[in-house]
Amino acid sequence: MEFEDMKAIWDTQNDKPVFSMQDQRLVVALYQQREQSRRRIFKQQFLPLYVMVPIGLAGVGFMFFAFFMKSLYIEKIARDFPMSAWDYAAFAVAAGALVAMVAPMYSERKRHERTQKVFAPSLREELERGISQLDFELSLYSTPRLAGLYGWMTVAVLLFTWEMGRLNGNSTSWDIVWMTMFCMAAATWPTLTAKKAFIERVTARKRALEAMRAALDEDPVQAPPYQ
Amino acid sequence: MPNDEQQRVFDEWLRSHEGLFFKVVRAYAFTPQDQEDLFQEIATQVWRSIPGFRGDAAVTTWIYRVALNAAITWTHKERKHRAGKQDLDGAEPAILQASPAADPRVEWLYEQIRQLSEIDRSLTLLLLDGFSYKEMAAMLGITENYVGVKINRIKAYLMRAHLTSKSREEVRDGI
Repeated sequence: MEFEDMKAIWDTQNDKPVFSMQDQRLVVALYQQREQSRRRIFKQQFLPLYVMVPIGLAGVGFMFFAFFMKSLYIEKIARDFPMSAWDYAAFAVAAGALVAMVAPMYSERKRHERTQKVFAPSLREELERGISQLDFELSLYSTPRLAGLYGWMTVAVLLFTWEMGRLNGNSTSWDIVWMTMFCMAAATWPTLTAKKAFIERVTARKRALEAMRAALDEDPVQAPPYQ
Repeated sequence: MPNDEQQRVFDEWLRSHEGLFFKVVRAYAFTPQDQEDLFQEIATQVWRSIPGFRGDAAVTTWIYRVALNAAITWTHKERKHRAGKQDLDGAEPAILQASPAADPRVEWLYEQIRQLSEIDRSLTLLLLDGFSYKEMAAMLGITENYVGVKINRIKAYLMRAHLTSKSREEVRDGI
């Protein structure tokens, strides 16, 4: 049999396909996939950006308002102390730490989205896009990034809780600080334990894609023949 | 692109190129669950690709490119992830095995194609469906010379496999 005969055999399936398509079922499956994707986007992008950020801003705004009110009036009607310039400075540092934590997250995701929007015109570019996606996922778990994130978060949470204590009349609320630090450590631990398994999983996928890209570059003359 | 228009193009492409979808599915997925999953994956990718289609290439070339890219990246997805997606989708499949028995010669061809690496499988499908070396090179992002060398090796492999199975049949028939 010559190759042309194989091609003729191959073409017979054009008239007699082995599968039959269930249109309705496919419509439902595609709808489900789009819904899943929509829910994922909502969970990963919409929820943090449009729900958590306004809540955070409202909390910070309320606290600032309380600062202001306490500075102006409360010392006149209760045995309490006014908020000093140091309190305002601590509040500003805490708010800055929050911004320093959230802003890079937002900008790096936006930057990455821009690189991912183009529809890959060839397999090589598709593989490179896949590898860059996995690199991005790995970078989210890099030690410097996590240290920076948790560092800023710790600064923000500690200063806010300290100042909350002072707003409530505790001039030095060390017990709240220790409790907050313990809670922060407890919240950080699951991320650190999940990190290793995540990196191993993503690295394995990345190696597979890299091997595929390397196969596109291999010398076909040197490669061993199929048996 | 409006959703209705995207849906109309998708339906049209699916109807006129369903055989192409099935070929890629059969070459890359071997169990009915995997075939179903890959079919859905390809359909999703084709749907997503529609707004990006500018008519620079033929529709067949475009769909083949999307389907092969989807199939190759699908093979490297974690099985756990794929299984999870399957569970969510429910029981009834989007593709069913048609009642008439498949041509054994076509089956034999698929068996041989499945022995090849993922990239060579793509080249074989494209070759059997009559694409030029230039089109194959553009789809995979490799040079035409490279395609030529690969195709020669694949053809040699298929010929050798055919001779082997033929001699096996002769031995079995006592010739």
